[in-house]
Amino acid sequence: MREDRYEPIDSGRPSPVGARNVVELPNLSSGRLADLLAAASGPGQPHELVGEPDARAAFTAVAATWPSRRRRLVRTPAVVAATAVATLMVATTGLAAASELPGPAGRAVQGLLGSVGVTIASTPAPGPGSSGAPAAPATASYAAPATEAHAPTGTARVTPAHGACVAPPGSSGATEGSLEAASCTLVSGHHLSNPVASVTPDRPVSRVAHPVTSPSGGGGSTRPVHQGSSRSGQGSVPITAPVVATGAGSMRGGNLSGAGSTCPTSPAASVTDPATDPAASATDPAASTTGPASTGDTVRSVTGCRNRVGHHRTRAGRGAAATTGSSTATDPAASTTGPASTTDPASTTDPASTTA
Amino acid sequence: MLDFGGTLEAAQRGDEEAFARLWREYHPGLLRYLRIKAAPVAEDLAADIWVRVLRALPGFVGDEPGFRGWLYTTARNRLTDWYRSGERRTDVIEHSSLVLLASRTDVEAEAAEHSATDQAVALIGELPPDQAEAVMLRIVVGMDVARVADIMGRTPGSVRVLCHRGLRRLEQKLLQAQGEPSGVGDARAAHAVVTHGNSATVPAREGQRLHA
Repeated sequence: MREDRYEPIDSGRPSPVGARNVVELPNLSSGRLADLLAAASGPGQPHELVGEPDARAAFTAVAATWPSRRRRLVRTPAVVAATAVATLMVATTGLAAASELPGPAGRAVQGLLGSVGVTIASTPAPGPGSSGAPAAPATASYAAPATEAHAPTGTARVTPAHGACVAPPGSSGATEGSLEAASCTLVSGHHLSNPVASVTPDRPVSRVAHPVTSPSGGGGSTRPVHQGSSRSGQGSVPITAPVVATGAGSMRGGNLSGAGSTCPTSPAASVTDPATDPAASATDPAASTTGPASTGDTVRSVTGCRNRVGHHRTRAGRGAAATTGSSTATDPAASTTGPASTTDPASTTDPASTTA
Repeated sequence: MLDFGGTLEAAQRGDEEAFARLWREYHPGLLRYLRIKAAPVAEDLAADIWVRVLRALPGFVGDEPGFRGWLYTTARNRLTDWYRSGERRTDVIEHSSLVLLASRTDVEAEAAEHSATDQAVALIGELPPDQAEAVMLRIVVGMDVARVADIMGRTPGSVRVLCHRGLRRLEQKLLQAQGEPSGVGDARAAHAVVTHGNSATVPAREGQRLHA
């Protein structure tokens, strides 16, 4: 092919390589080389095809091991069905767990499911700086006094010191963002041996529900937060002190329980040991509702009790300062250690906890 | 002309005759390719390669160039295995075990029986290995540059260079065989002067080496 020949570019100056080094492609269309290549790519010769019977035998042997077309047709839908079932199970599990998971995980699951069109109506969203703390529902408005409607109701009750949170009678479940006051027993280590000390105040709990500015944002929403005080006095002390707390770091030292919910009070799960959790120690006025000055005793906050209806979860060691500081600073009435919430007057007037 | 799609589909269903058509179409080229890479065991390797292809044949999806590339990729992988393994280890044969047998036919006549295709492949096989492989896959088998580069693990530009150099060297060999002084060559290529369509050859000038 003459057109394949590379001609040197005449640039007016002598070529550094010289004309003899011009690359010339071989002629593949005619000539001996073309004949050679045509012969090399010619049809099969008889001696090259002598192995056809062996190839046929190999084909017969190997084809017998092939999966049948019918089996493949059956297997493919089975795989598809199994995959669909597995996906459905994962999605269902995620949907069910979305309301129980902590804030970031819940939001992650919510976003994941939302991308496939599944909407989770009630997933708490924590505010900034308080991971895992529930936030105000998106439907709550800032100035709406509707928090009164969500005010905790019910009576305080002291249950035997077995660590069970018992829903108050008449509380028929908490709605989103609302907290049904539930009596919860504080387990206080060495005082467990004195069940007589349990006090049962069968008087109504003050309905305290004030809209509080939520520092966590959420559109300036308000929400009632239950913050039960926990202390260890002469025995188990019931905690039914509903408060209005901020969105960030709320519900420290208290537990929330909806109707019929119980809270196992395993010391490891529900009681924050001040020795291991400095943030939850009694010396932290923001962390504990009863400071050591009032009781002189080790205070353990009941944590880990999950409100399974209201989608709130107590957390120890997180956002403690935000809880008390924000809530009590804006509303002293939201003090968690109000006289109505405890039967020990001496321990309820802890200024450190109410005005921190 | 082979209807590749229908033939392949029939072979994938288990039609032996369809597979035989595929085999007759592709086996000669595969055997020639193996002959320039591993001549002593070309037949055995080809049989093994076809067994490998057969095992995966029901799952193959593609057109004719895809099938060709798949076949030669399998062949090259098998060659690599053969090079790496001890299969190519030369066995030691005692001299006393050799038996000298007289040839029943004339050597020249036997050489004349070889087809032009065999001689052409043999001439290509005298090229450096990379050039020979590039010329075989690109020119003789007829695959495009990109696929050849993929099979050889090289860049397309490298494949083009190898093809060009190989063709140039072949041309020099042919000119050398004609008695034209055209540089370094080997007189053994003289018998590879091929006329298209028949097996006419020029007797080799054995032992004669041409030097530029």
